[in-house]
Amino acid sequence: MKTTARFAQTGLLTAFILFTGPIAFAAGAGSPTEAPPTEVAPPAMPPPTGGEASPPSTVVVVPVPVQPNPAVASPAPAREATAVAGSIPPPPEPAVEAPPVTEIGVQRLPGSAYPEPQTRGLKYGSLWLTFHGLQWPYLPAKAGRDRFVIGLSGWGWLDTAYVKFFPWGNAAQTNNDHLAYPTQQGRMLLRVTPTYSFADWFVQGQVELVGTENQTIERSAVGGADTDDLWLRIGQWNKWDFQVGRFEGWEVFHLGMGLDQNTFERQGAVAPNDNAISYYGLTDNEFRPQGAAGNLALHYYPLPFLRVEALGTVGSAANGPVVATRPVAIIDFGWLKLKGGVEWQQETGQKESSQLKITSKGVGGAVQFVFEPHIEFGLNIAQGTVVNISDAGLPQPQSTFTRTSYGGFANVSNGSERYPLLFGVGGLFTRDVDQNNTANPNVVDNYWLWQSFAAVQYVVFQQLYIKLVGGYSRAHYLVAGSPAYQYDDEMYSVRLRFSFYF
Amino acid sequence: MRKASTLIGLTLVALGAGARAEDVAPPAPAPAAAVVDPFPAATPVAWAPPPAPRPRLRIGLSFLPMGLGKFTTPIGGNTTQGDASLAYGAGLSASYRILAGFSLGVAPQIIYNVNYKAYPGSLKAPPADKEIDLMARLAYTFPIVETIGLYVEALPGYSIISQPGSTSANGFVVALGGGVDMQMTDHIFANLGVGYQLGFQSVTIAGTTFDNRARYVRVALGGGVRF
Repeated sequence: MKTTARFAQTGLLTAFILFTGPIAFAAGAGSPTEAPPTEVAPPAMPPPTGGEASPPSTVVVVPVPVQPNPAVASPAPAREATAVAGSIPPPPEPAVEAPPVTEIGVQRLPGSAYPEPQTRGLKYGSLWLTFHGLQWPYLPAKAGRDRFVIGLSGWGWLDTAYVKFFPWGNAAQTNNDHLAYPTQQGRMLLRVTPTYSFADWFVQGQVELVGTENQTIERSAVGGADTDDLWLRIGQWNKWDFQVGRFEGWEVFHLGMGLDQNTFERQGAVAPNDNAISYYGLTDNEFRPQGAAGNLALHYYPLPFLRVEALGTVGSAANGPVVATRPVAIIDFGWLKLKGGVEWQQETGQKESSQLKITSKGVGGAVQFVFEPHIEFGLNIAQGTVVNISDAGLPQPQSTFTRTSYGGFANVSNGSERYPLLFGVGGLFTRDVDQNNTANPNVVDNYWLWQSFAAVQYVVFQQLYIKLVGGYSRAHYLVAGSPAYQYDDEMYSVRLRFSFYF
Repeated sequence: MRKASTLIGLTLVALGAGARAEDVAPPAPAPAAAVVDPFPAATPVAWAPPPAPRPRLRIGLSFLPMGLGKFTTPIGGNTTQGDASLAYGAGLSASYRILAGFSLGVAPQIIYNVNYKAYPGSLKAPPADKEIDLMARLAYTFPIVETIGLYVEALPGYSIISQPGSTSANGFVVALGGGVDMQMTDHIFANLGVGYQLGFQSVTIAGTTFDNRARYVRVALGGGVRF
């Protein structure tokens, strides 16, 4: 019985060898018969924790399967070689994935995204909320690995304000501009900043999506835009970058805790029927261009304390084609900041026959001091000219003028981390003098505007900014004509602002 | 007076700066818990310096912009009222905390450019007046959190409105207000306040008494030292 069984076993073994041997031989020694496991390779680096500066800053981190880098893809598996001739080829297996070079994170910008190599200013103060030309959001690659992050941040504010105008003098405006009214206005902005960083290089984009509380405001009106920033840039962190799109130039004039954009203090004692006047602080090309125009800027950081922006503007604005340039330099030692620049802008007509030419020039500078944690203050001065030639090639003396602004601000803080309270004051004087002497050769339009404020701000939970601002402004108008006349206007305002930066 | 205000301001800052330096200078004593007792009788408690007594004396200097107000003077034998021009001045205050948050003191102030925005008379407008107020200060401060307090104050006093070459007006004045008091160091503070100041000044011309008064929304931006 045993012999029979052993014979049968030997026969089966022989048959198996005869049947399988050639196949195995054909397959080659050691060839696998199964594809390698297809599990997803681990990310190249741990998901960003977002805890660089503030642990709760990370909202979502989504490590995703990434495209393998073709340059380092693993060899194809040997299944093709093991296929039996004539059989249906199995579907190709994915290649073994090399460690990915990129991971995607959706991240609330951490504290480190807001660089502060030197102090920016008193914490929670107006200077602190300014970046003095620094590259931000700052999202460098970590530990030498590439990184792709979609940074989320933004801010929103709501103003409840009251304004009263008190004009007087011998002009029609003084009867029509006795105005008093409250307003509430607000904006909230979501900032999305996709950033790809590798080594010390980066490619970054940013869009700021804006919601406005006042739904009757036109898109072209001040504060009515539904997009603030929209730009792309490439460069090396802390060395240089090139930026193109819709964005603001570097700030030179700093106005302190009041005179915020879109507010009564910023407007000053300029009632609807008053002649236009507004401050000049190297501002023709600082703010985001309106219309089909945008900026190109080269930023250069030759020294840790020296930053340079060469900004140009090109496109078509309200009057037609516009070109401009605005180089600005910032020397920042932290406690002392020096800022200065010049600018030039020219608007022309679209029609070939048009002789329209509006040329604006200006120069300005500012000095700021920060003595942490209690006091910061600064002074600003700028002067510029506008020369206006009409479509027909005629000089426009009323629109050809020189504007001069100077002023300062001061903030004081209790320096408390837990209960941060700040006081701020500031003032700004502006004078516009045009060349409108056609009616009376000895008199031209001569306006001046004084804008001032006092503010108190408290920050709740280090997140919610509550600021009360009282404003006072006075304007004086000497209007050329025959006869010339003068009048004054005053404006009082109070404003309560709630802001949330996230 | 401006020189005097500047001198007082610099003196206050100098005093405050010295006080701050003193805060930093003394080295902190070694904590008692650092001494190891092999047989501790009880859990050692870290030594902490006793809280400094709350300062009682407060000396402050304020800038007083008064942009909104009414001015009343006799013009052509009639009492005439009009919008007041922006007036500006400075105030000095010295208070002593008597009980809890209640303090009592003096607060003289001087105000320049007391005038109409647009002179309501038909003749040429006279030059601006100067107002000197000699006021007492009664205040109560409610501490909200550390370093921050809210205060209310009443400043009754006597006021003189003077104009070169003419008779001075005088009379009772009272200011009521409130604000925020911010402690920057143990001895230096800053404050921001707002209130309303009512003047009841009058002037006698040829035996007839006329109202000659100024009333303002009063803003105070200042700081000072506490001892």
